Amino acid sequence: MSEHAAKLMVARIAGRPGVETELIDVATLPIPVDDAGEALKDAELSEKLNHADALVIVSPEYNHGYPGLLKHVLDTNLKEYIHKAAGVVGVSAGVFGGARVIQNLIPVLRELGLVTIFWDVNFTTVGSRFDEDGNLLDESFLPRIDKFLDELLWMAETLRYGREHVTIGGSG
Amino acid sequence: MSAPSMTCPKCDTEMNHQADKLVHPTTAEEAARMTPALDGVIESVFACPGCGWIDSRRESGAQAQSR
Repeated sequence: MSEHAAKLMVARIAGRPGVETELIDVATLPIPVDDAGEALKDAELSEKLNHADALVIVSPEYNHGYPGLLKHVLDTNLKEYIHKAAGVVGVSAGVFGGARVIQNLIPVLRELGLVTIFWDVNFTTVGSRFDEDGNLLDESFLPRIDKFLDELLWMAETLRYGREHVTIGGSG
Repeated sequence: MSAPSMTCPKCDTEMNHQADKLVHPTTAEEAARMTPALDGVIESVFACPGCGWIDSRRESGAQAQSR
């Protein structure tokens, strides 16, 4: 069901003027599991991350945490994330809507150099939120998604200016 | 004081030194280059004002400490 949530987010982002977006499914990436970290960097993924100004991470919650595969893939890059905006969409079968996966993921994103926004999206009881074709059944989620994207795009634009024009230690 | 400059490999524009990220060693080679006072290796990250490309380089312990 996370896939339905991810596709909805992609559609909402793509509807914003001047914004390009792409869905990256970590389950389809050709990244081995016999090592970890930047040694496993996938050139195509890194190119996409380098080009991106922001990431929206849509994650299911398993045992209060994030999927190991998501962490494994995130760990394959570093410079591509620095001073870029990130927002997290939690997905769960229960009523907490991935609140615990978001809490556990944010310290990881911070260490990777991403700047997390203060809006989240929580898909509670996700099994009842989409039909079989992935259509959203409950439009009450849309205003929160729009607020999430407003903040994400502001942060993305501001951080892009900072990355390109504000030098670290420049005032010292 | 900023790290030595970097030129964008995509469009030849001078890049902006936007971050010094502390990276914890994962290999013996990196551990040997570690800056003890920082407990890691500094990765200097640059962004291109021309095309937005990001690049980086890891500084040696001496370079990281002198900045």
